[in-house]
Amino acid sequence: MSAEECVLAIQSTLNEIKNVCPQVSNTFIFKQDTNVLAKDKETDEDTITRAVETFSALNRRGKVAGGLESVTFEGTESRATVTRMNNLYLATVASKNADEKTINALTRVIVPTVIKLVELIQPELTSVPPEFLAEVNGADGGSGEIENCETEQSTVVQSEPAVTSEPLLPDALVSQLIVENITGLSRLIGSQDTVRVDTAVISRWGNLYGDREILEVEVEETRTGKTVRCKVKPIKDSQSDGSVIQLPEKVQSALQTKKGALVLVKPVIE
Amino acid sequence: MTKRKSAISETVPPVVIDIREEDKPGTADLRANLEEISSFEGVKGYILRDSTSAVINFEDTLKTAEYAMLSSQAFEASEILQELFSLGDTVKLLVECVDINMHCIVVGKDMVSLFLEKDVDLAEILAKLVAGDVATV
Repeated sequence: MSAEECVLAIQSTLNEIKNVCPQVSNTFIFKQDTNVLAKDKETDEDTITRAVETFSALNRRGKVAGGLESVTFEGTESRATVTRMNNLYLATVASKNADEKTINALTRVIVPTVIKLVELIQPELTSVPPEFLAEVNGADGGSGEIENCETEQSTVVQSEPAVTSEPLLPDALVSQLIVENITGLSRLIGSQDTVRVDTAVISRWGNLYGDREILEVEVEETRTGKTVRCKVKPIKDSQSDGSVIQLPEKVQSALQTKKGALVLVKPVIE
Repeated sequence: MTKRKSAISETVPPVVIDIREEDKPGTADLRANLEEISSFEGVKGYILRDSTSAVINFEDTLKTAEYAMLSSQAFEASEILQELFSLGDTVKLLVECVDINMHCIVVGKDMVSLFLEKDVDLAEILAKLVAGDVATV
């Protein structure tokens, strides 16, 4: 059985899912490296590409908890589920009226069984290029990455952690703060590269890092994921409860954020 | 790192929870309920956010930022998929990870992300969350 025939078999299986359960509107299978392996005949490629990109971004964040196994997005009309099958991910969208037991039987039993058979016949079809794994492992040191059994069992030489002469410092204390515009005199005379946070926040960082002066912070916009590093100063005459950060227009623009949004702020310790 | 031999992952049994509009707790009630839930066994932490602010409480403070980003990314992903596949308004999200499960629930204008160990009784926690009373679900 050739690779093309195997893909055809998977595609037929996906189309059959829709025949068995007409409430299923979309099904497709993609690899860890985001390449699409198979899709049903109705779902268009642009939709799949965007969905896969969205899932990949979430997958990267999921490394903190050992990697994603499955994700279910439940809306008032339909439910989208992405389930991991070793190196592959199966995405299914079905209306809320669909019988959950039937869908689970199809997506968690039938499809994985077909995939297992295909893996036996054409193992390279579902494998991920080693360059991709090397790239991903390089990005985070290999910790918590979703990998298949073969990858986990392969010999990975881990280098000894570098010994530095720097004293041990606690991990940077991250504060989630609400964006405010810079007002008053600071707006007119202040630098466009300097953000302002409450004195209480700065002193909390100060307590954590001893006598080190906090001159810079890293600000990450929680929705866009954009990060900037800039100088920090305390808010003058602050009456806030320490939950806000004043950002100049230039920084707001760099972060693609605005007043009222949430950002993560971390002191830069050097 | 945990080795996974099976191609088919175990799934969390679905918990059906139906909250009437008048029974939806306000932000203050939610916060109080979450505070209590955070002491339950197997609860790693929670994030409660509305349109302007967020309350974050985690057992392991070193992972706070990363969990916050995971939650934020999940809500962002739900908005994109909602548009791509006409899912309708987001009701809840379940992110099953190798180490934990993240349950995100929309309660009125508030969004709650609960980070739980995999064997936690979700029904009990959700009942406590929305009603402050385990017996109502």
